[in-house]
Amino acid sequence: MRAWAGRILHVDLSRKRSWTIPTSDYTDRWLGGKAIDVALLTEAGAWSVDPYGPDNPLIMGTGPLTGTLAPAASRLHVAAISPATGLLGASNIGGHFPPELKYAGYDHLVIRGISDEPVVLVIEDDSVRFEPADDIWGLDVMATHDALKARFGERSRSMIIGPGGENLVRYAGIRSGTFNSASRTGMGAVMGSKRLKAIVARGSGSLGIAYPERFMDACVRMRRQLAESAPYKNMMDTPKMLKPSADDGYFSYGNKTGLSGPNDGVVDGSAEVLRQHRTGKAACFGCPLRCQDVIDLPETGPFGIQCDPRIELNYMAELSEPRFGWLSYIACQQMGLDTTSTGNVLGFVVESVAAGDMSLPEIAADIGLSPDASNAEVYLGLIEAIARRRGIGDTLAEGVARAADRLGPQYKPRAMHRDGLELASPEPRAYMGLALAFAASERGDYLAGFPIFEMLGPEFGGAMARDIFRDASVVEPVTDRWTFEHKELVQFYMENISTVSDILGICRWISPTNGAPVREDAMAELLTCAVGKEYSGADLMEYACRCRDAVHEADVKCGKDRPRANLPDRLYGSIETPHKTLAGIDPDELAGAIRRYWELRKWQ
Amino acid sequence: MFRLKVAADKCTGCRSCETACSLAHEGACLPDLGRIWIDFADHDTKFSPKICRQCRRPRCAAACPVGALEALPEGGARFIVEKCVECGSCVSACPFHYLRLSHDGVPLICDLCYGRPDGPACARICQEGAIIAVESPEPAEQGKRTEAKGDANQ
Repeated sequence: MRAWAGRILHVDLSRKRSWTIPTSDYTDRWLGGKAIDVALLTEAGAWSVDPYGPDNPLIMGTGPLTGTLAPAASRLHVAAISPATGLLGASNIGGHFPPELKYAGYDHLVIRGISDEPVVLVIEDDSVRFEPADDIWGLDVMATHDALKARFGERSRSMIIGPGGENLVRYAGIRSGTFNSASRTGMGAVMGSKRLKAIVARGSGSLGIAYPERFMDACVRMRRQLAESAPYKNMMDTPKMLKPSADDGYFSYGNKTGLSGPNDGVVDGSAEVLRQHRTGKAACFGCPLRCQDVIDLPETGPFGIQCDPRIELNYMAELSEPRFGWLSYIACQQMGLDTTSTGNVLGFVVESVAAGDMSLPEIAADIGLSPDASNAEVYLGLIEAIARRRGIGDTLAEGVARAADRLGPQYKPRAMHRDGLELASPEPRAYMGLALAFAASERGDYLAGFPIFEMLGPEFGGAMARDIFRDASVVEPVTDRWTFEHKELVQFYMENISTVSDILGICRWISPTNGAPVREDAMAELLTCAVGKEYSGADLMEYACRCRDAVHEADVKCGKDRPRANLPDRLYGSIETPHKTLAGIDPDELAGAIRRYWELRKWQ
Repeated sequence: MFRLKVAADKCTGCRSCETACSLAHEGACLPDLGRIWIDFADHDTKFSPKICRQCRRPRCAAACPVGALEALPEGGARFIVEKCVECGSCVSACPFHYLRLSHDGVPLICDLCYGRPDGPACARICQEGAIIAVESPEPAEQGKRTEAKGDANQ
């Protein structure tokens, strides 16, 4: 079996047992990665389980290209029932752990049970062991990373939870080193509920390639193509890349009460800090795009930052203090919290403070800070308080939907979430494709359906849309951000191409989801060369549809309801800022677009 | 004839060079089988490619007790797997801390992708220019002058 490692590792933490089954039982129908993860979860049938109970399987899956020379072949998909949404949780991570897991001989991990004591799962080829983790339980992420490197060797790779995951923060993520994170939908909390502090992998098995020379040539060709693309060039200066859309109101701030604009100084401030303190660029395993920056701040030492999330944090929390974005990102990283949800939670606090329902000096006292701490210090302190469930951090650790339930009725309209998952900072009122993506994508998030055509606008977006849809009549509406017309086609295509990446184990950022050139036919060429069986782009899109259908079926079994306008009410109202006024999203139009999308998927 | 040049400041730590090397030499992907490797430091935020310096008088070959590494006139050494007794003497002898053993215990030494028409695979895959293959300016019979002093990464 070429390209695949060949085995799925099952682990029972309650009994400290492990066993394997062949991956080939699943590859014909599901191929790999996310699709096999979902198949394994479906097989477990754990639909109404307690997300923190022993029967919620934590599943991790690489794809057939993970760990090969294919561009950006670093990815692993994580699935479990989400403690945030109660639906199918999903998060994707790159870095160097996923290839190492395959070299150790495993394509997927299925982790059940709960350990009696904190534990590290050590996977070294055929040796699968459970080692005590009492000495590292409670440590932040990079201290844990260092301890694991010291214990298991410099070339071992790990997946780690921080205090956030240990303390079951519903938006805790799983981290790998300083750059990578599977953050959304609370997968770190599921890992914490199993008392699994870390998974360490080290492997010595190679991945066979059916046509090595042809594969090498295809990989070189695609890397050159990527190195000439706009995303590659943009990655050298991510603030500059975001500046035009930020100026145009792409980010919302203050809990979706404000809009980014040309004079808010956030992007410029962030860019200035980056210029002063950046020490280099970095990449995940095998990735030519090198989207990560290394920033060395005097307060923190060198840390990795991926894809400019500090700007998003700044906007969400409405703090125009450029260093805050960086420091808060690093704090989230160290505590093992999702930056998107954490930023949203801080925005919820900002609004509640502005409304007089909370006060910063009281929060400071509550979490053990001096009452004269600056605003930024209090918000930074809150991040650790959430992870360690100190004071009001304990309530905020539940996420905005549950926190609002607990705090009182006036908080409810401020909870910006879909199905319990906090919304990210891009503003759906400014892009109707984004509104549909927020409403119709799995897991309550917009990324899988990212409407790149309307983001890039008529010229660049139009050229891409013409190439992809081959239908001149859809090009204009799909590049027009103010209409829902034909946006279901965008949602359908973007989800499919994202899912192909997640199945194969390559990063979706080399694909059209990021405006990059590697499409399904090129991915099929890579897979064909690697495994020695012919695949076409259309074949891969069919696998993607099958996977998306399986996710939907799983969500329905978990209680997802009929298609409806499911965004927070605030987004149906207008927003006015000094530089821009946006009308609210029309809920009927949104519901119509969701219905058309369901019809396209043939869902009942 | 090629030689390799390294610009460590351009390296992003993606390790494609390691994987490409294993694919070129073994027809399979496993970075640990690469004859080039990336050293990670400072919380994995600094990267240094480690390459064979193709020494004119290779100490690895001199240290080998059974002649499994044979010094080549143009610099570097050729590995003869049948003779290797997996003692690791070559690893200790390498002054640049480059040489390492495979999981099977044999040294992984760069042959500059001898015979590959596109030149060294590591340089071919690195679009950042952190590893560049340059035509060797010296005629082969004079040997290559890559036994640089000081930092092996310069």
